[in-house]
Amino acid sequence: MIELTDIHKRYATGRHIVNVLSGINLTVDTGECVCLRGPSGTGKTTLLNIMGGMLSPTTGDVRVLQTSLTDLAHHMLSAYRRKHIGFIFQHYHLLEKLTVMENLLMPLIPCGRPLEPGKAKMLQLLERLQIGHRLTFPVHCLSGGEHQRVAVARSLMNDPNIILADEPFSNLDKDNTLFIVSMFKELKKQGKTFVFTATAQPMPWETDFIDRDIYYGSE
Amino acid sequence: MLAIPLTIIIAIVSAFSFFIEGVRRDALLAADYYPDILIQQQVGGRTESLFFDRYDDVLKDINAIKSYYPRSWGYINHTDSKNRIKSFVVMGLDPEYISSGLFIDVAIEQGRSLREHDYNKAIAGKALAAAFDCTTGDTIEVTSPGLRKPVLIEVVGIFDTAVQIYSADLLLVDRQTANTILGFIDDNESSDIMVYLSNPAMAGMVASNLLKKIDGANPVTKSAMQSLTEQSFGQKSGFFHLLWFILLVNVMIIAWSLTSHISFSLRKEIGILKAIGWDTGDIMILKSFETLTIGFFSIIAGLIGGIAYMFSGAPGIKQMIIGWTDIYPEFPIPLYVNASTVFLIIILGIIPLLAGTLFPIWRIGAIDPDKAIRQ
Repeated sequence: MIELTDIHKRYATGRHIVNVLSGINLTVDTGECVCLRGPSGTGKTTLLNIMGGMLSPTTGDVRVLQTSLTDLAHHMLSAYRRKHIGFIFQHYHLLEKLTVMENLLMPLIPCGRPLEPGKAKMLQLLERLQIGHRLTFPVHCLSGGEHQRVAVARSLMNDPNIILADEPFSNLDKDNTLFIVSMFKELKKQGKTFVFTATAQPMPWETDFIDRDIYYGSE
Repeated sequence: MLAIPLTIIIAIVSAFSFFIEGVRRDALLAADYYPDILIQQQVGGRTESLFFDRYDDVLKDINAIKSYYPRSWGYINHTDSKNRIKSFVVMGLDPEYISSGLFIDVAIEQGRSLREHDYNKAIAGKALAAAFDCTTGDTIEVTSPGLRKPVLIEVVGIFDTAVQIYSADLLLVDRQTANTILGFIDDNESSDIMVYLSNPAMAGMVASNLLKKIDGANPVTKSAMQSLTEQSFGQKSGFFHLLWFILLVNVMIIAWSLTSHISFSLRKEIGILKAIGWDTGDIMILKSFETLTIGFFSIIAGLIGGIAYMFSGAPGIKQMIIGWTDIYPEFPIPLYVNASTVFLIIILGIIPLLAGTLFPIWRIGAIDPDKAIRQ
């Protein structure tokens, strides 16, 4: 499903060139759950962004569903993200001025589909994530755990087949983590592909969820 | 951030625009009532009063002239309760001329019009009546600059006309009374003579004929007077054009600052929208609606603010626009909301803002969403 071939990513910061990724090769199969694990600064998020079509590699090829992302124009990349990708950012990146409902409906607008079925799905997701009562709340009024649940709900609104999550549990307490993991497990059973990042060592609850750990950096 | 400066700029520009449009419209309406030729007397290059008999002998023999009327006019002073001296216009006309239809349309709101032999009686414009705090039946004391003895005038009517600028501060009396107020020697003396022709197209020819026949006559044709009015208000509208320029420059500055200083929050918002599948085009449409809504409401608020300012008496700008030298007539502001001006304000307000909103989105749209979110 996802094939990364000889991926390099360099950032220029002033006079310095930082090599974040050097010759990364990775394949993720459909329905697989892969965890990119390692300390901060090893390029896990960069790799996740490259898979999501949100960042171009300096060199190398990214193929998702037999399509090379490196050949796609900006508007085609937008369509790719819209159709196939559910992205959960480490810092949520919700639109703070909008309400929970508006945030969740945002991914549906460019699809041009009627919003009513989407609203039904949104309510279902929020109920499942136990934040249905926050529907009309402005996002900036939510707690950290609620932010994360809204971010999870948003990533699922377009029914993506690939879910990319950047340290999705790092800001959550144990109860919230277990709750979201149980939801992810259900989605995995439906055939969704997961790639997520983590800095910590594998936790007990991850064993029946993660198919493969890939270590970066000193690990 | 955008709404407040835009509202203020629009309020200032619209206030001036509607005011100047109103004044110009009034002036042009008044110009329609100008006589075909106005004859003045010049002595040593100065305009002086004239003696009607001398002109009457010549005018009655010119076939192209249909009718002619002497007119006496000048200024009267009035000291208000705060000891401020205000000037008003006194105009002496023959009652037959007022009722002839040649004079500006006069609607008597209270009392009656002037009749034959109505000496020391007047009909007063509304602003003048308000300043003198008089109504029909009241007697007012009128003093002209340079005239020692005040004249008592009975107000027999209050009038209004379509042309505020011309009539609001006017005291209309018969010519004899005006001559008394203005200190003319006798009834034969007048300020000028209004001449009406059978064929107004012959005005130029009749005027040159008059120049030859009467020494010191200064015949001014209607077209020359209209041109003078245009020039007078054109000069004021030069100020108006400057304001339009200021509007444009200010909106351009706002647009430029929007373009050059792309806020982190905007950049992040665009990055997030792109990350969840929005295309740059979708974001541009969304932001266009947002800018149009903010811009439109700011402009409407500005227009309402401008009109409200004018209705409050336009403190600070009224005298600048309607005053002539040191005479500042008292009359209501002739406010005129012109649809084309409103349209122009909206266009000049919106287009640069739209450009200033869309250009940065287009620029950010060309970079990866991750970069946009992080930068």
